[in-house]
Amino acid sequence: MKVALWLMNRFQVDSSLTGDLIEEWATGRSTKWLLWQTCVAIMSALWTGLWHHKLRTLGAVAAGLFGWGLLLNAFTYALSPFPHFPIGLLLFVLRPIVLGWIVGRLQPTQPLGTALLFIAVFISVALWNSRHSPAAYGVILLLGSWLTLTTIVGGLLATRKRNSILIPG
Amino acid sequence: MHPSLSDSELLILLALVRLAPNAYGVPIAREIAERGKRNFALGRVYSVLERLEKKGLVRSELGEATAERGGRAKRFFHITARGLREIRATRESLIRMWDGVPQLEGGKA
Repeated sequence: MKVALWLMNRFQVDSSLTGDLIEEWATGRSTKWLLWQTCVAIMSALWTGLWHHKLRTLGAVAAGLFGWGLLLNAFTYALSPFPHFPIGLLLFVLRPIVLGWIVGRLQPTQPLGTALLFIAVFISVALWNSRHSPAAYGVILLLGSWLTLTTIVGGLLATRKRNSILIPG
Repeated sequence: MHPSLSDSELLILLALVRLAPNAYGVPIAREIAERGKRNFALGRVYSVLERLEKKGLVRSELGEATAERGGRAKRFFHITARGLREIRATRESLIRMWDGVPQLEGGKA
């Protein structure tokens, strides 16, 4: 239940809907039921948050892609000729977090969803660009998993805090 | 010409009429499951209700937050006069389509 509530809170699911799920769960529904209902609620919140504000969503994703190139160049320039470990590693970690946060802040109705959309677009573009060299797919997918995790952290940081979660005893 | 209602929209509007004035997510989903024999996830119910609210067929108001709902308020939904007109128009159009078709009479295919 805690995980479901945390997820719904982070994906900005309508608090009345969350309350309805808590109420129904208390009548003895199964964990499988709760997980299914949580998935549908999150998908619905993603659709509402991203599609109903599509211009803002597109702008945020475009800003993220632009920022990716900008930060890459700026960091390379600032650190040249020492873009190596450990500063290089720090930047490798920080850049997607910062971009996830920026993208999320630019689309406040669905920050985490927008950060996920941004990284999905980024990975899709990378895969498309390397379509003639299938050997690069593995590296992109491995790197993509890491980028997804770090971007999610940025998206979570951009999610506005709600009232504390109360779980009925 | 009335804008047509989808299957899920019609079921939810009918549930609102039956449950008035205490229609919120949980009883709406139960009413559709028990009477309509259809299972709608609560997220889907809210998604359809939001669409109906945008069309002006439904309005909503927040109730008071309660401890058994984890401090979340209930959102009560009410059908508008326009929503009632849409249901009637849909019913009339369905009846006209049904009327005089022998294949649709009786219970056997």
